[in-house]
Amino acid sequence: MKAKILDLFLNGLFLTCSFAAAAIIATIAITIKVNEARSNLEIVIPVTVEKNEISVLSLQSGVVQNVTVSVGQSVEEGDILVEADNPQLRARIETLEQFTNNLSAQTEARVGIIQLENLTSTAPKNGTINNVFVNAGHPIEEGTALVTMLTHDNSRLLAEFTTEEYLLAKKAGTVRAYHSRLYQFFEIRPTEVRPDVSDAQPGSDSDEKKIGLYYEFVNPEDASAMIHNEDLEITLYDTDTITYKPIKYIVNFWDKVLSLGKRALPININK
Amino acid sequence: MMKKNIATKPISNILLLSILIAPMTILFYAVYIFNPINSGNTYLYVFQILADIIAMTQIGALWITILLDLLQSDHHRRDLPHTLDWLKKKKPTVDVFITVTNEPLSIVSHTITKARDMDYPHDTYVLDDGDSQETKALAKKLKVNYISRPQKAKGYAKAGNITYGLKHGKGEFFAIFDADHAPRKSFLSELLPFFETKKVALVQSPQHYTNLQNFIASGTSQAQEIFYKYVQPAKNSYNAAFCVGTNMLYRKSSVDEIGGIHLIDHSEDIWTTIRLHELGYESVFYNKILADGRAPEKITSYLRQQNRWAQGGFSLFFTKNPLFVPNLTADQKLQYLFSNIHYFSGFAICVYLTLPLIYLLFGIHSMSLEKPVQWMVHFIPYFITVYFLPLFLLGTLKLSTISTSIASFSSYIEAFWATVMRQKHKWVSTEGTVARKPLIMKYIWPHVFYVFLCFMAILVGWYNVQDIHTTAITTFWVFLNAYFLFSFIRHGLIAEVKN
Repeated sequence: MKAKILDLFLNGLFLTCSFAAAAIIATIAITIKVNEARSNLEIVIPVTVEKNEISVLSLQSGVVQNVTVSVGQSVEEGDILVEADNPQLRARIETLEQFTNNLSAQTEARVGIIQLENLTSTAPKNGTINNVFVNAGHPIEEGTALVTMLTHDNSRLLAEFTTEEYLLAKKAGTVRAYHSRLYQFFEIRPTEVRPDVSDAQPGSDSDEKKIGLYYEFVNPEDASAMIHNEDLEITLYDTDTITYKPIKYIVNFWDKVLSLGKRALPININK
Repeated sequence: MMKKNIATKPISNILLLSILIAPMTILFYAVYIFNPINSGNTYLYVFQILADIIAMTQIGALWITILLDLLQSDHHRRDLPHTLDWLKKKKPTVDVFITVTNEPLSIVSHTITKARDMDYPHDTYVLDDGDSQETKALAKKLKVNYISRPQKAKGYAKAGNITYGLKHGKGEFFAIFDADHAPRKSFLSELLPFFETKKVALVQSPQHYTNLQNFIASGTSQAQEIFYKYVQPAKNSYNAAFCVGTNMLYRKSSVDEIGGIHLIDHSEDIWTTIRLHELGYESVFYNKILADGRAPEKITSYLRQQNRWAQGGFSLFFTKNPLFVPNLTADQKLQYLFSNIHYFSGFAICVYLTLPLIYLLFGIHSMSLEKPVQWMVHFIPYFITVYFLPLFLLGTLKLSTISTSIASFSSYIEAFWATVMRQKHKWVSTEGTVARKPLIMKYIWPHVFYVFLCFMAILVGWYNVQDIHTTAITTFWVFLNAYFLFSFIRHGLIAEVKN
């Protein structure tokens, strides 16, 4: 009797293993097929980072003594960018300070001292130096552009779509853009359409006018990891051309399953 | 003096026509399939080619055997004297051996009784390798001799058993019957006269099965029919008929000359015959049913039997390849070779079963799919000729025949590896029991796995269909294959449970 039960158990085990093996092979096959179907439906569009460019203007006339930053350098708010000097101002202050009893002279001297401080230009925000217009010995006036900076805030992304792609993107709303340099996804949401619809670039293979759509980072701190003019990728799914529904559900299901492995990770700012 | 013309019986015109058409359709298909331009995925193409080569070789062998035998002019036919006068004058002495290994007593009893009651005077011996007290008692009750070899003499399974029994026999000739094959009354008097020709050392009569109500038994029985109706008689013309293990008579002096029955764990029958042929002896196949036997009814016994036969074929092929055996005529070499390579069909079947699955699951095909009509045009005539040849030969084709033939692929492949790896073979008779009842899934797990995979593959295959026509045709194949194997499993399990 015991032998019979053991036989039954072993037979059942063989049966289950055969079924499991067949199921595994079938699952692998269907996964490959589904991925292929998905990739046929995928449209990958590059989206370009545009950082905000601000000019740092000189507040005081003088002569540049020292430029402490170079193009591409990242600076923090308050970092010294350009040091200038104005010897005439210094002399004048010295002279004015001698009139210790004259109130207007003292006031003027104090104004002058503040003006001296303005000879040191600092970074108004965190950012990256994009252009440097002066070097040592360069005379500057009040309002002269010293450097331009790309700041992290107000960064936006620009994607160019064909009309059909634009409709898909509009429907998709907030999407995840893949950054190949950082191997991560970042969430971006569409903001506004580019006002002027640009003509097709010369040399592009279609005469279609492209619609430009601006995106912003859902998490503004993401922008600080970006480099100006970098490309990320967004993937749109052309699920409308699928003629029968089951594929749509399967595609969406597998999309969610596989995205578990590619979730956006918190960004490490320390570079 | 009456001469017995043991030529093959005339065959119908439609069979003759199909035999003549066969090479044309095969060639027509071959020019398509062997042209690499038509190939699809390279790895699959290689397997397709190998399988097709095996299949074409099998068909070619069958075709050559039957056709050349048909075309032989009369004076090449073997005319052997076959007179009862010789029998009465010479009065040759005969021993009859029945090999028993734990078959059910009812079957053994029936065989012993029929063997004892054959009309020509003889001595009957029961060779019991199962050491069964019941068998001993039965032998005593039926008044036949009982021999059971002692434990220390055991070895080489049936061959060893017979060799031990021969020591006790005194006849000039001996007959061997399996425990489940019962001879008819006239067996001895019909077959002994052939020994008038001194060179004749073996006379073999066909295996015939009576338990055809069982699915597996009827399937394997019909599969054997081609062999006994057409192939073995044709081999007979070339003096290449070989022993099939039961229902035959040997000349004792010839067997002694080759050192006794060839001692080997399996298929000693064909090995003994080839050694007799080497010495120039003749074998005779007399195509008259003179014994009634039982075909395997259960999955385990059927697959074990097929494994045994396949090991016989492969062992001969690899260790004593008939092409290189001296002293055989060219016809004999070819005929033995054809019989040996029959078991490579296991690989071909395996490939044919697998390729459509691969297409449904992974979308890759061995042939290029650009012009499916081209493939169909080349394949369909070949398919009709090849797959319906048994139908033309036998007049009918049963589901059980196809199922059991396909299902044997696992046994053949298993036998191949066993032979190549030189494993020691544990011989168990067709209906005998082992100490522990065999686990059925161990035998049919490939088939069960295949049937599961078939159904899943059909589901996967129709997801996002790229090529509707090819997928439809492939689905049809897969469904057919699954149906055949499922029938085999189902009926086999029913028989197994009916125990």
